[in-house]
Amino acid sequence: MKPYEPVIGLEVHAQLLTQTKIFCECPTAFGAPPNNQICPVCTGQPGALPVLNRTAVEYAIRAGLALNCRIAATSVFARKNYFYPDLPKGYQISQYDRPLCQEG
Amino acid sequence: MAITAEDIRYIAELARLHLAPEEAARYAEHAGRIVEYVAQLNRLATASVEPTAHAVEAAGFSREDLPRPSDAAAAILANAPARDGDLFTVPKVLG
Amino acid sequence: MKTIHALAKRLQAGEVTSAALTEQYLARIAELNPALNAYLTVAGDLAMADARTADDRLRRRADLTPLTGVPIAIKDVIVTKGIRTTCGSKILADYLPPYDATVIARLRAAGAVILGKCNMDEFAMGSSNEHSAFGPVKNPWDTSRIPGGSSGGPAAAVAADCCAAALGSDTGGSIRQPASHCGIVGCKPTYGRVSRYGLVAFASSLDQIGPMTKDVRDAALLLEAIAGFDPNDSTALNVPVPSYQTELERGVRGLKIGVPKEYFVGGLDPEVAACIRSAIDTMKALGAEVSDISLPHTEYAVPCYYIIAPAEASANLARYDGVRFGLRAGNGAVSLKAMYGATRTDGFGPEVTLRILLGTYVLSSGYYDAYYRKAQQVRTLIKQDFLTAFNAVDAILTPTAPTTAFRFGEKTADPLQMYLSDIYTISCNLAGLPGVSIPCGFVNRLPVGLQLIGRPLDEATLLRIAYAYEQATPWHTQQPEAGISQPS
Ligand SMILES: [Zn+2]
Repeated sequence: MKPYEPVIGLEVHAQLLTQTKIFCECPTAFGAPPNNQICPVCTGQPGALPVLNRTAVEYAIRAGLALNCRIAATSVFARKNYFYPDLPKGYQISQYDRPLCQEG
Repeated sequence: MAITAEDIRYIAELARLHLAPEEAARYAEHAGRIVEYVAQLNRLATASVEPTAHAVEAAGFSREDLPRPSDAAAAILANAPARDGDLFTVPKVLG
Repeated sequence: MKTIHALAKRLQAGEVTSAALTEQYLARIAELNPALNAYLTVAGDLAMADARTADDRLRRRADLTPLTGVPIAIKDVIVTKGIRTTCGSKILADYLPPYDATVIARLRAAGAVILGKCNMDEFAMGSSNEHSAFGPVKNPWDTSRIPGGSSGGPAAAVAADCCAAALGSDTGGSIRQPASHCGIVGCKPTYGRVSRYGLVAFASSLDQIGPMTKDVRDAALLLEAIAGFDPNDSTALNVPVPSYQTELERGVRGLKIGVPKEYFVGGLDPEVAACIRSAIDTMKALGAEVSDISLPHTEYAVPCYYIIAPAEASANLARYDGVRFGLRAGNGAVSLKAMYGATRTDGFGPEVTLRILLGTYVLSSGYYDAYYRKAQQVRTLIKQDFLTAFNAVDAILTPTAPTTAFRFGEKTADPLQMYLSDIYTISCNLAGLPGVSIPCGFVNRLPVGLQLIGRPLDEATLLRIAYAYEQATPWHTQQPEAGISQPS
């Protein structure tokens, strides 16, 4: 049998303690009834556009610094396309080749 | 480069489109001609050229973390093709 | 001529009420729309309510604007709260937007009356309006011909005086090309000049909303009303909006205008070329300095666009999935995937389907660098051509379209032939520059348009040149007759 070296990547999710969602002004209050804290942006209505929450970026940078990351001066969002009913736009607004923090 | 009906069926699957075989053949022909046409960009040497994603260079505007609840929830839910109370319903996800 | 500025004068002098004017327009639409198919939705009751509110404002003389009480039409790609917005697609045939686009909110705040929503190629993909799910728009100058696209509905509505003016959208020429074919003024502003919040996205890095009007002064005042920063669109530029109207009358003496040699080869109709040459002579006579320039990457604009636009569209159109709004087909479908497939296959027409397929293809694994990244690099070269040219000239003058309006069915068999109708307008979008089309003559009683392209955010100079030319020529005063009677 061939000797294999296991290489394991971890995908770690953390919820940021912001008052609003990352791309719209909807509150993020815990325990509200379903589909109550929604707006044209987060439900992917035709024509709606995301506007980035500055505090989310600040928190991400803080997390990056805590993990000894290099913080990018310029960072770019990218679309990750797939279909799923909890993904209103049919793509995630994600980061790909120019993320905010790397090499931590 | 030619695009085959097989390529088109694969792409259609990714885009969640159902094409009948004769449609796949027609789209393959049209898409193939367009892909051939756009290939003329390869006449240009661009190795050292920075790509332009947005025509106007501007650091995107960002906003303060201040909640402003929307009053559109009812109108948003009213558009649901199928709903159960305040929930959108969909067919079974796991076949 | 029933321009915004002429109507504003009459409204503010109390010679006519907005309610009376709106009634006249609604009657005219009822009379002409069966032949033209320019409107998809006429918002009669809401328009009359807008008009009464405006009349109240006019009586009180409370913050009047040139738009107060003036009836305007909107391309059906701009969302209007409570007024059906279809994008010319079956997939949104019954969609009632839960919010107003920023430009709509601004028109409402200015007191404009919204008459209804105008027909268009599905999701703004087309150059002839033959790709609308609700039937093509007819050109008021000759109803056997296309009005241009994708803003064919607004262009025909303005040309046939079924509104005072309209808002369109332009991704590769969709305001300017139909403006040219219908003999009106169309302005695509600099990318970021006007908020896109509420403009249903086709290709987000190219789309821009702009005015479609009967004359240049109207284009200036309508642009002034809709332009400017918007916290809901992070690409809307935070730059003050000049008073375009006050700049209009400064004339063109001493301005430098470049004519790119690459725009006068190949498929340009000789009679259209003759109109443009004659317009150049007029510009010279008015005191402009006209010189030949080169935009060497011109021939690559259309191929570059047909990678970038479908790629962006394929992602933008993923949200039409039958879950939250719009059509859901395959009811009773046993699986989610079957519902998605049935909805999207049923809901999208053939041109939109083709572009989604193309876009998905060029973005798919293994092809990204060869197509999308390559096109973005070529986009840089095209943009640089313009920036270099603008070191020597203040504006660039070209034909808007290679021919006058063609006949229905002439280009539907071959998508590439259709795409080449936008050969002179696409570069502007790739480079993010402002462009204006104004009437510059007729060939066989069909209107010809002349395009002016300007520096980023320099709409003022374009409108100023356009105004000087317009005032020196009779073209904008001509109106189509073809069975169309003027209201009293
Ligand atoms: Zn939201």
